[in-house]
Amino acid sequence: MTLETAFAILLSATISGSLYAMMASGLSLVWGTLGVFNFAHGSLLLLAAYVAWTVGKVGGPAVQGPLAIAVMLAAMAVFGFLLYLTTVRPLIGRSNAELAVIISTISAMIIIRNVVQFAWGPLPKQVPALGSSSITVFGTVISSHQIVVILIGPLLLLGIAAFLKFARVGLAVRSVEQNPDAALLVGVNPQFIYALVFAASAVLAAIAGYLLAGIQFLTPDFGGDPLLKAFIVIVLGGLNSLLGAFVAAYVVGLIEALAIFFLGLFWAPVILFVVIIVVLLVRPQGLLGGAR
Amino acid sequence: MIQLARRRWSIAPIMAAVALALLVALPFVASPYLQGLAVVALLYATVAASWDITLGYTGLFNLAHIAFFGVGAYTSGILSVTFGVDPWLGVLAGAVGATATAAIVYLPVSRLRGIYVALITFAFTQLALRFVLSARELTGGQSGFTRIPPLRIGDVALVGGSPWSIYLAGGLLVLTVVVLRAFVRSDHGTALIALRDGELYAISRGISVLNIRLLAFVVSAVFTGAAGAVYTHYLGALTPGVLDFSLVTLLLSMVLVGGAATIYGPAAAALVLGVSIEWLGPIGPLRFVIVSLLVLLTVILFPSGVWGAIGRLQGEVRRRSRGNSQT
Amino acid sequence: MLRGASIAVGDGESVGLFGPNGHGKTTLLRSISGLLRPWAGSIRFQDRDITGWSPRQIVEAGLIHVPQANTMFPRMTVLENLTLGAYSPRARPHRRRNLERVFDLFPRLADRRTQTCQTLSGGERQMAALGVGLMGEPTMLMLDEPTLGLAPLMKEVLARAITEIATSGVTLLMVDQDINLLLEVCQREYLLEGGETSLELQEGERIREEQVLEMYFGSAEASGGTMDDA
Repeated sequence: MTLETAFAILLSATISGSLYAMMASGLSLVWGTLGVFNFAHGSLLLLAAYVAWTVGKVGGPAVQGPLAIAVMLAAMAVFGFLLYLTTVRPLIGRSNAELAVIISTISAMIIIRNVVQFAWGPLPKQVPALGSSSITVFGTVISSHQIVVILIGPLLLLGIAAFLKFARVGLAVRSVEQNPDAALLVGVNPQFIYALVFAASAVLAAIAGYLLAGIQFLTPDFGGDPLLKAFIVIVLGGLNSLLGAFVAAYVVGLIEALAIFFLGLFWAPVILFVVIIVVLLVRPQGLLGGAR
Repeated sequence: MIQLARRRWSIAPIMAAVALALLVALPFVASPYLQGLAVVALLYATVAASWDITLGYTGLFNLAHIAFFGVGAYTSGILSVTFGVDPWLGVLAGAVGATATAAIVYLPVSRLRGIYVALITFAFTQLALRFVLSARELTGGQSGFTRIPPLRIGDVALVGGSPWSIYLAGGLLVLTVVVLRAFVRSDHGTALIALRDGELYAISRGISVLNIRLLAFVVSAVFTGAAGAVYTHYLGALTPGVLDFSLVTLLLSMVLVGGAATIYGPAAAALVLGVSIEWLGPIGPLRFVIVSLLVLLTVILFPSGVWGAIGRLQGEVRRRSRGNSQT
Repeated sequence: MLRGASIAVGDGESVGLFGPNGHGKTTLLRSISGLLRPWAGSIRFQDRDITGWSPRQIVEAGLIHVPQANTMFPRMTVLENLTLGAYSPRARPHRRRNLERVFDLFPRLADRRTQTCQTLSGGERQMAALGVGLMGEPTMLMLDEPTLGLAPLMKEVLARAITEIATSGVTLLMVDQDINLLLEVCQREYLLEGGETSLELQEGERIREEQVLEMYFGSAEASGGTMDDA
């Protein structure tokens, strides 16, 4: 393998890794605080991309860029909250909440996907990438959009970690995760925390969706693939730590890039699954050995 | 108590006899359109009944079950179209293929618990779908195959319009229910339930987790794969849609009966739902939205399923009447 | 199951609650702090009916509950735990002041402020739990078994701290198995038995160990150990 190809593979891995980390972290946060898993997370990605596209279309070229992004993020935060209200909140506290939310969010996923297809049609759409400059490193062209993707994942996760560690509400989030009763007794409002975390995960998915839309064509099936990879990341890295999700995201990105390079797009899914099987057979606690 | 048990015991055979009679009579009383709905509904019921094994009896949320159906369909379809294998052998091969798939899926599942099982099985189904879409030469990709040979009995082709299609689908359902009920009542089934309800205790009594759960996975896949194969020969066409075989319809049947772990429950629910939903067919994708909404509403409003809610109501009534006589 | 329990605590008083395990002491506290909803009856605090209030509202009103054993956020540091104690809008402005007070009261916590709570000893954890309660700027503090499982020396430290808190004007409702501790700290005591309150000991009354053992076990010989072992 030449230096150029090695670099290209690494680049692809960091781009994917960043996106997968963004998606997995949202899921992990919701799991830690609410104890449920949102199967409609990919739908949030999907919706975010379409909303961004629409804002851009409706507003014209003047509305591209920062304004479109801001509107899209706000809309997705609201939508995330609505999703929480309808599919999660009624079910929290039940003994089978975990299973019930899986079912309710799967239903939501199907509903959203069909509504998107109905509202926007099946034809592929394109969301403009961020910026148009590029640099060339080791023979590979890196666009400004790709640079943003590479940087944003780690930055966001760092920001979240910092928020959880230092901000008052961040402490409150961790408190609900570690001891819900004690959190109540210091005056934390769990409903507020739940809604906040869920909306935050929606915003994370939205950012990932918007960035991905600048790379791939936008169809109603958009986001199914990253969601799938996010699931694999979570199985490998565990739901219990952001760090685990972060590391696993890049590992999956790397494996995927290598598989595609050596065996082609065709075999990549199979390789991923084989890798999971092997890892789980050899090391059942996942990559970082988080308690399961 | 004894009286109650005896009464419950005698209802099931009567209902089964009635159902069988209906099945036999159906081709003679129903329009071809309705017959077509019935065939698909009967296949739904087979899949739902099998899903109860992993869902209800093992307590694992196996989202790869739909993939077993698809694997059965593709195995049989590809073998008959590309390799000219007799469709009946194809059905057998479909069952075998689905079973092998179940064993493979079980590999990671054996090391995981709870939510991770749902994730990995979901991932598997999606990966299978992607594989089918990209292996175009083998599977026909997005468009699939259209000249799937039908199953034949003598000169008769078991396609839409032939009463034998209903008998085949119905027969498969009956076979499935009989075998699965026997499995559930066997030592293996008892061990499975013990494992589901109290894992540590069961293990301490010598029940091997790995073997029993693997068996459950495999048993749940056998008839599902066969159903998939029958489905594709009945339709005469094979598309990637089979890997997604109306997940919501099956979910709704499970949710309505509250994952009852009865085999009968999900089968009956799927039957009724299958007919109703296929009947909504002409609306297109909107029907999936409607069914999904129904699932959502049911989960929120009826935590133990509609039948569960009715069961609780019955329990309430019974308890109150007993209470009055016991004071 | 509580049935017909009734207690009253005066402003600035220290009242103890004792009784056999499983007879509802913790349930009573949890009902008062809003973690549990009573089916019947009412709870009044400072002339307001707080029955059915959310825990958050009750904390904001100044009624702080320090529950048994499990109060902490194990993977957070002592400092973070204490900071969370001052989460409510009522307590937030006084956070720095209260933090100093807690560290004055419990110098050991100050030394361990960057340690996570799961690494603390039993006694230190109880100190931290008490500290978290204090951070909430309480008018009234409810303590559930603050000295459970501690060695006598530790018990003394905590007893002294609790007395100091009571002296500073905080109303106190304290549950503990150690009758002598209750007698030391509190002015009045209730017995909670079979879900009902009974027997109110007034200030000045003293109760002998044998009498308590009789209450619990029917006879002074039945247990064979001291109260501390019970």
